[in-house]
Amino acid sequence: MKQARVKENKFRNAKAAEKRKLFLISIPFLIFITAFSYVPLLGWVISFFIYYPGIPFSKMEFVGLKNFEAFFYNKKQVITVVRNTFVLSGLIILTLPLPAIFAILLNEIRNLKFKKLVQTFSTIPYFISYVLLYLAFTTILSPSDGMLNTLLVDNLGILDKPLNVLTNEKIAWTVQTATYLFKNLGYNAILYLSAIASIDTQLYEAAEVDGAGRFDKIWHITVPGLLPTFVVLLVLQIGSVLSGAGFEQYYVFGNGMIMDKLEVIDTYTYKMGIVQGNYSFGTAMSMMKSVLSVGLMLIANTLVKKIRGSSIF
Amino acid sequence: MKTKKKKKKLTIFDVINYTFMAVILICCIYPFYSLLVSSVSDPKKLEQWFLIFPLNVTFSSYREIFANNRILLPIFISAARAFVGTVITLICCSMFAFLVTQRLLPFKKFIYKYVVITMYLNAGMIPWVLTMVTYGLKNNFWVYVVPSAMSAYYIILIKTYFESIPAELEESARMDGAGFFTIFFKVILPLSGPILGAIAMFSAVGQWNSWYDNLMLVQKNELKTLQLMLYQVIQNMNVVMNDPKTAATAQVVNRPSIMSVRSAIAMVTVIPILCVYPFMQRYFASGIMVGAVKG
Amino acid sequence: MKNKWLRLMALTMSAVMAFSVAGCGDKAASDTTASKDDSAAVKAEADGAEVAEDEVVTLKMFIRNSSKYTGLQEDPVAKYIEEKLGIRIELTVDSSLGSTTAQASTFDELLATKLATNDMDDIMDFGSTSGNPECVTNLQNAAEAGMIMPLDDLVAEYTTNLSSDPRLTVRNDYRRENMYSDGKFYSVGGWGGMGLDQLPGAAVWIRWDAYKEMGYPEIKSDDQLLEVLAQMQEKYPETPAGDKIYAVGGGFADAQGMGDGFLNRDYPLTKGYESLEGNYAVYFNHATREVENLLSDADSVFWNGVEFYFKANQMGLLDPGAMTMSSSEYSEKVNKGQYLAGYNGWTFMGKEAVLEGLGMADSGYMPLDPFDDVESMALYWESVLGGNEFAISSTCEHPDKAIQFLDWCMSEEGSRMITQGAEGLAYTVDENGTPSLTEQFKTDNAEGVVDMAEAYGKWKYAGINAFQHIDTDANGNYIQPEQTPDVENYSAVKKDALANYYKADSFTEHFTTLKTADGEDLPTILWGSYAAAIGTKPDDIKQKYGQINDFMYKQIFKMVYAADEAEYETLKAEAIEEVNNLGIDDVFNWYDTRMKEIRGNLDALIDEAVKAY
Repeated sequence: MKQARVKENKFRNAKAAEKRKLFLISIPFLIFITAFSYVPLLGWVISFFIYYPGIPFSKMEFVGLKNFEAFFYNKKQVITVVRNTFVLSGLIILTLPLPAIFAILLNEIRNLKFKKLVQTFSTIPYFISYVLLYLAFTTILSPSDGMLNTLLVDNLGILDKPLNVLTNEKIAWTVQTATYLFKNLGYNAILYLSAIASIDTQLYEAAEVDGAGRFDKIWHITVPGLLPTFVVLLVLQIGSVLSGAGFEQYYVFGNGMIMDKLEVIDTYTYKMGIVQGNYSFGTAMSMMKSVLSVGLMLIANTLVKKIRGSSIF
Repeated sequence: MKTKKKKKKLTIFDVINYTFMAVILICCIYPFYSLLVSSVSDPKKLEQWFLIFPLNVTFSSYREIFANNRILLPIFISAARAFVGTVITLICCSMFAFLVTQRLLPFKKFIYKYVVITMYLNAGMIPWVLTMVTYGLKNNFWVYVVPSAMSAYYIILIKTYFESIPAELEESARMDGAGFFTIFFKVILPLSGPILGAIAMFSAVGQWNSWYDNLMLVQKNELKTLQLMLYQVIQNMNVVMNDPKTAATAQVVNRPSIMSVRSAIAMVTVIPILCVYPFMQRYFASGIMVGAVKG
Repeated sequence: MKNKWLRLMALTMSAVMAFSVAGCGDKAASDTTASKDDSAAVKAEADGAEVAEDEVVTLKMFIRNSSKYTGLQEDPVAKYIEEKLGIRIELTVDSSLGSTTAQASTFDELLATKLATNDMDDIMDFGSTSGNPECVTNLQNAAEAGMIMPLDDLVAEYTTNLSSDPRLTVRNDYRRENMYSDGKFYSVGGWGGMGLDQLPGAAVWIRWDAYKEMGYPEIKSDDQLLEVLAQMQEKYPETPAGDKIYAVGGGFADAQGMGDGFLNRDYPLTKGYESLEGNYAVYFNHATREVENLLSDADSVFWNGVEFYFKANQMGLLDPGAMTMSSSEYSEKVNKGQYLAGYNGWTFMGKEAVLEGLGMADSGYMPLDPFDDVESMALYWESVLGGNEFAISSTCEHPDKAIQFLDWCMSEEGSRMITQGAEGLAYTVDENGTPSLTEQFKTDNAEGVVDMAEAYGKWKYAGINAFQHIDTDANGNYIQPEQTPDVENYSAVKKDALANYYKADSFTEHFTTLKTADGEDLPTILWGSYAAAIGTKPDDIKQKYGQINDFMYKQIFKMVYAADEAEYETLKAEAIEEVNNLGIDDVFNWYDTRMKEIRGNLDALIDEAVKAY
């Protein structure tokens, strides 16, 4: 009896020691995160003041929520902007399975050299800056001397008037989503490829022995292997709804004719920030966006947890 | 480990798949190839962007970048920060990710949430600069590699990957008396090639491309990154070519066009990444987890 | 496996250590152009430099520049300053900030971080008052917080130009009375004066060889211009390289403030109207020096501009790709000779050599005489109060040297060297004080291979000089000798225009004697000081004009690309109504009141100052 209790105590002590050890290991990491991610947030306090760089804290004028209200000044415009943001981000979320499908298909290619080639080059659009990408698009799609229009109108005579892809309001959302896909498909697929690589190949062999066909294997082994990664990325993307494809894409691709469809929260606050000319406004917007994004992510996390049983946390 | 591979016939699915991949390949290679071609074409003849063959091959755009610019040091700095920064990031993120998978970690849920939320927190430019300056991260190399050591995004991805490693492996190592660090280095890391390869890729590319921290926090010439220098080349060209106050017209004639220099810059940025790729690709190859549980 | 990791760790460790050393070290930039140093040194000695070796002081400067590197500067101008004044220039920022207005915000950001972290260098460039309305607020805050020094005593004790040149003392007075509230002034104004352009940039520039071939048909209105352009486009459909030629184009795809500049800024400016701070709501009439609301008036020059582009599009004269082009693409196309005309002369001037390289000899662009509805022409650029603000930090250990440096930059000699390059190297001055370019300079400048900023010091520090390159010195010579008209070596189109169209002996003679349609003298001054003095606006006004700008940015392009006149008129009526709803009257009233206030304060000062030139 005593022996058992001694053993139990030993076990409990060992457990406590292990807990302590783990906690100690975590401390430097937490300090680092606090130092680099939370300490700068103290700067959010300038959202409630009128701030000009260089003036001491005591001289700053307190304005409460005025900087936040400034965003809502033109209600009609704000509604349009928020609508655009959600539509564009929503479309991106809908395309989330595509990199995974691409990774699965790529994995099915048996010629190793070709597979590596496609994988390498599929990530290239990611490295090309938006400015250059826009230039590439105009070269193909420009109404005056773009490749596509020269072919269709001048050479083949199929169309009378050139196609207006980049300035057409009606297809603006589609074009933006396609652009996002073009840029990110290959790069995001890397994650799924590494997830596929981690699946135990013996599972596939076992399935083959059981008479599973190619699609059975994909459906029953590969997809479940990818699901954790996919779910994580989904929740994270929902958290980033307010950013969508990122400021740069919408800024570079925007022009006067499609602005109504393309103006998102990021570009709108950027413009307003220039007009306002003081940093408090920009900081207030950062703060608002951060808080809302965290909220969205937590909500998405809870929902996914209810459906699937597990999520990010 | 060796399995007999039977020669399989090509199915219709395969044909469609190969075609599909070929189309994607062409779509993705096209912009790259176009940039390559336009960066070596005679700028005066450069009418359109979609040339198949370069016209009058000339390296004047590259000369514009490399001559007069002492560009070797920035290349070295960017490569160095890509390497050092990635190593630091990988070690910190993966260690922390492993830590968070430990059942016995006190306040595990809180700690994880604490870190993950930082992904969406943006403090704003001035508070960020103020913080960095307070920590002494100004005008030295550490600015480039230290702040990025922990990234919530990478941590989440690595943790998700770790969770797919069978628990038996860790348990059996623990039975053998291995502690946290031993298990981490000897058991977990060797099995994490795929995710570490992917994250290393992301991190290195991020380091290679960044220039804003350089602009705001580092003034020393010796620490200038490649991207900032290339950005500067375009600025200088804009002044020479387009600003009527300073444009000497003959300079415009003899200089390459901004388009071709932009293309050359894109090449200088992208080609090194493509060179590193083959080394990273073997980590995405399957077969790492074969028989891991049994072994 | 183990070995590999160990090796990797060792490599990382050594790399990290190497970098801590490199990062903490303090190597100076060393880009010596040894052979060129001598002449600068000779010049300095000839000037009677009395500076002993141990008196040389290094000043850290945060000033916008065209240098490729930060740190100690070694170009001939810097060497001259070292010899003559005993000051070494150390730049804490280089040209990666960019110099176009689009990149001005990077400079503002960096300046803001420096102010916020109290990282003040000896000489601080606070930007330009016309580019950034918050510039003045920054200065006032910095002065109040004690971050920058009051300059009155320093100027009185250590300077010659800043304390006695009337063109400069007026700038100091202006700042003392209007910018700072404690009876002292804390910054000096660089980049000002009464610059004279040879040719008006804000005019209709047209492809001259084509215009000549058509026999110089009379063009006094937009409709006549469109007719002539239509004929021209038919006669010249392609460049020798095979590119399609359009009469007009635009880089409309850029963001608000740039893409719409063609209609918002360029066209009205050719008539003498400048959009204040880029706003659609208020235009400044340079003839009357008053604010006007052009949007609410359906027949104003603003709407004429939109109509011009609309008609051009209807007639097939507008490049259909204009809507998707960025401004850099547009410039590239201009450099390929694909356009026949434009309203922004600075894009089109000096293209003779470029066009010749493309196979179009004796070609180029020249400005037409003003149309009937032009009220003033921008020939003289008034900014007598100086636009760029420079201050001395309170942490500066050698304020006397700092003010002497600024004083030199503010002198005519300093302005000349900064804009042209070191004397003796880039230019020489004869007994009468007339400068002329050296042969070496002309060759290097024309070839385009030599880095002019490093080899000659040309334009490297431009912005800190008091007098613009197009100002004239006391003897009537251009500050920047490069600007001196070289009539004999004029290009073919210039000679032709001068002889057969303007029918005068010099451009200046012609353009300063023009008359309006009513027979009055055509005003030729573009006033810069008024706009620069506007300062901060109340928040609701900012919101209102922000909204108006946003709306107009979308509306004008819809109008330009309207399908027909009916749609155009509908959109126009809609626009006028909408800007009314958005509060254009409030914006106008505020600016109007403010401008009258400014004029009350500054008219006397400015008119006085203008006389000094």
